[in-house]
Amino acid sequence: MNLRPIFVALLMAGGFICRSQVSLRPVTSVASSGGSAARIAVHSTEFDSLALRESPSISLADVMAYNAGVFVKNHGRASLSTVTFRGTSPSHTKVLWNGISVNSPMVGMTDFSTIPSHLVDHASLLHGSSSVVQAGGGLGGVVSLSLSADPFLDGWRVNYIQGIGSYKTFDEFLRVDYGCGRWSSSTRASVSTSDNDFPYINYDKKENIYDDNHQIISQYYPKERNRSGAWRDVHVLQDIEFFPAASHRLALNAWYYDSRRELPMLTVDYAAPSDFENVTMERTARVSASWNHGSRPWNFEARAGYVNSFMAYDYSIDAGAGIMSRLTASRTRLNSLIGQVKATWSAVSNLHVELSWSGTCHWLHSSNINSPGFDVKELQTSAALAVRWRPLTRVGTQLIIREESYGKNFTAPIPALLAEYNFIDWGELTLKASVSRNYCHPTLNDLYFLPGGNPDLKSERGFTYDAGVSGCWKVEETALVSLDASWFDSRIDRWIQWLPSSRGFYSPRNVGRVHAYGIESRASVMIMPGRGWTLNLSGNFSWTPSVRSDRSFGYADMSQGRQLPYTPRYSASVVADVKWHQWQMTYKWLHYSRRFTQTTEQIDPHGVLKPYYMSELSLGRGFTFRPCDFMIKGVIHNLLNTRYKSELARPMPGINFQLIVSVTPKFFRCG
Amino acid sequence: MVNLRFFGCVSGMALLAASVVSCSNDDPEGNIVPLPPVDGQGLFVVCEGGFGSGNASLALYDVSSRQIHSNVFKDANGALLGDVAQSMTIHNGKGWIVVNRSNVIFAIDPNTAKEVGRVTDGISSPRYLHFVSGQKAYVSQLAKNEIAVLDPESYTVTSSIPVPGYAENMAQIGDNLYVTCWSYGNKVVRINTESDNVDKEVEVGVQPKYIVADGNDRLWVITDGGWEGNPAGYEEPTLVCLDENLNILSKTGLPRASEYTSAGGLCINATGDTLYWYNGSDIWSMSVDDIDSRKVLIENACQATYGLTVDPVNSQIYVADAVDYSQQGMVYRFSADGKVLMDEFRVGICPSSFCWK
Repeated sequence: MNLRPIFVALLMAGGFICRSQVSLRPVTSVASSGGSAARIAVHSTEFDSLALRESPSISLADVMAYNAGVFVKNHGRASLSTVTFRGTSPSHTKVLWNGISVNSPMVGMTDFSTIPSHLVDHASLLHGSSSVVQAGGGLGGVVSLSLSADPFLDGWRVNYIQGIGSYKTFDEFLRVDYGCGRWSSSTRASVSTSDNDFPYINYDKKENIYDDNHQIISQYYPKERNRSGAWRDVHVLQDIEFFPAASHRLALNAWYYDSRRELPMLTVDYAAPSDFENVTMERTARVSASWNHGSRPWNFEARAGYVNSFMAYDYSIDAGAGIMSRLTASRTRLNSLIGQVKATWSAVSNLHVELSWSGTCHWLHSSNINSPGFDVKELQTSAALAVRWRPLTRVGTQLIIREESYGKNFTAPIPALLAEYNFIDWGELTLKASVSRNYCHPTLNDLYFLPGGNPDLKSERGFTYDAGVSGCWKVEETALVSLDASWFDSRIDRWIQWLPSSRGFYSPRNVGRVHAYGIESRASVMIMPGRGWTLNLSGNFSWTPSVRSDRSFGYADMSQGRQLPYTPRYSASVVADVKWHQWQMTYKWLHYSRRFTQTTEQIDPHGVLKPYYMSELSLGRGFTFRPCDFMIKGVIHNLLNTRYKSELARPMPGINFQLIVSVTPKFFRCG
Repeated sequence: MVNLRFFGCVSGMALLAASVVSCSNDDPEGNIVPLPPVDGQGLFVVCEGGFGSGNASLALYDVSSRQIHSNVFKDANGALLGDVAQSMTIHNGKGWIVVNRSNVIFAIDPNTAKEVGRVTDGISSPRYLHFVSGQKAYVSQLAKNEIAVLDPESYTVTSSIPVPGYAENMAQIGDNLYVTCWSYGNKVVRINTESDNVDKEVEVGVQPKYIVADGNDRLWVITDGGWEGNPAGYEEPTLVCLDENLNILSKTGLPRASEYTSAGGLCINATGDTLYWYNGSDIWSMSVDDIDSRKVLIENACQATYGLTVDPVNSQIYVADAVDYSQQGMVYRFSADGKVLMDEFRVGICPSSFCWK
């Protein structure tokens, strides 16, 4: 007997997964009276599965940039990509993969370029206080990623996608799904390689033309190529689910990542690429095994996980005669054991109490060629009590109290209160509000790195509240409209910042207070006028002042009231899909306002990165044959060849192209 | 067919919309702005910029008019100075700016800040430049245990001198050049400038960084003491006095003002009789003839002391404040006795060194 659909139905009834998604771009999901109790008043952005599966070349960083209105700071594909969400720092956005933290325990942030969107089935962004539902420390929010096999799949399903792009960029992706009876399995593998040597005019330097007496007679801006930017990324993912009974679910997830990425030279570097080697390597394996059991009034969930990670950074120079002399050979080995348990008691249909605990023990060894390195063992725990209550059909609220520890230190309690009011007569219109205090504890490098680690650091402390409205309306069975707008206000103090010192190295300190506030808004429209046409249009707009609210650096400090570096005040994006039978055209547009690179909004050649608009256009057509489905798509990135920078002294590619071919054989069937 | 036309129409409208709301700015960013004349005494302030940000800059302060001209290199050349500008030296009418992470040394006309030449080959992570003569200069490097020997007329590296560590600051007495081996090092070496060979070396303490020669032909060195876990060791910073033959004459502890700081910025006045350095936010001075004369000359001069120099004409003191290391730094100008704040002016990010014009 196939128990998977039954289990899914039970979960939905018990309120453990969100409502099924329609083919819309991100829709702000607000729990209705019949929805998940865990999602009462939660302010979240659900990423549409179509956006996640759009191309094998896009990472979660791209998905978030175009679909969530967050600022993604990077210097091209396969480079460190961090997000600035609600004006906070990258380490204030927590990322969970099947409940396991993906944030680096060493530096706190997540490199979103290392998460291909094809490896994720569900992705959502929990804003501000709503993040406390899933984890502590997300002063900006939490990105929740999960896998789930198709419960209705009966047999095999295979999909192979190949992408060929400019600068010798190749993407291969294979997915094999199997579902039969009580079992389901999803195996995915992707390989991406690129020379990434895009050309650009370097306006940061000039080349000289000399006469015979070595006098400069002319200068020009050189046309250069991105140097030392090649990469190779390999991902292998396995998801197995087993349903021993209708109320039980066992899952095993494993994700292996192997990468080698060169670090591109700055635009102001005059060395020859052959003079040095600057490369990072990472091999990370994450394994998670979980058990879910639902039997009213109780639901139980238990998870065990293990992460093994090896990271290396090499910087070598040519010591002469082509012999490379290694100046930096940083090696970091991390082992993490994770345990999580959660129990939910539903006394009555409108009251749920949830108790959860998670613990992660990290064993870290870090070394360098010139340093003996350091070893750290640290246990990090998080316990939470959540009470979810819907006293009236229209009213829902949840209260969460969370307590976290790291090493021998405990954060103060993390409380969050969320509430909503549904105007049921007005479609799905919902008012919602939340408030929380949150703490983000220092990372392992913050505390223990040699040289510079500061064991006296305190947790960053945040207070945030938000209020907003969202709604979803059907218009005459041919259109679906959704809107969402919210105001937020966050204050963070004891902000941790790494600062140089007269001792010749950087060291982290608790400095300064930050006040971030603003408006987040989203809208989407889906129109199905008939005759095979479907139009999807979605847009995001954010206004995010994020300013220092004190003068921590003495008399000369001019940063008070000024926007934080690399945090745009305005960001906007639009995604438009047009489908007609087997044809599909997608246009994506993205805008970031100017970003300051200094803490004082200084406007000088180094102080401002100009605002920019980015466009991407793709056109594809599907073909249906007897043995397989076939799709071919062309993509134009940076459609208007915009010259822009995301970081100082880092070039970005101009217009470039990609051809994607997808094959889905039909000849696999379950016996 | 109608639908195809509609599809084409939608596509065309999308492209049109894209072209309206997207713009490509191809204007070169390098507008040339001539440097106003600074006829009298000038002070170049070398600002490192943020590590890896490529936002180093050069400012010029007119000492008599008290005018500050920021970003003079960028303005004069229409190009960026680079990543981590380390030091500047003026010799024979040319200013030589060493840009550490850009692996380049620019030669400029000090009156216009226009580039007149550059060195890019044969150097790796250059730090400081010391002229031995009009035909020879030494370049210390952080990425090679070598000092590069430079022909400044042809802008080429002609040879190199192996040293036991990463060379940093240099001082000359007669035909001998004295070099600190700083990062992970503990030695001061002596190089014969005739033969370009290291002929003597001495261990002075953990990570000797600054070195100056006084009017009595003695050398003064500040060690930063390293950091916990440093293979070279970890100890209190010191002020070490050496003679020409590298015999240690005295060694004095310089307790750290805080865990983030170390004494630094060692410099000497024009007559070679008074030393200056900073320790935390305090500026210290000392007569070279009396170690016990050391005293705090300026207490709590600024927030994040990052550079120090003394006017060769009147011994006025200039202190660079990096503030939060991510905004324009400040330079404070004090009277020679340190009692009067005479001026203050903004420069670039992380002002670290000075060069008198």
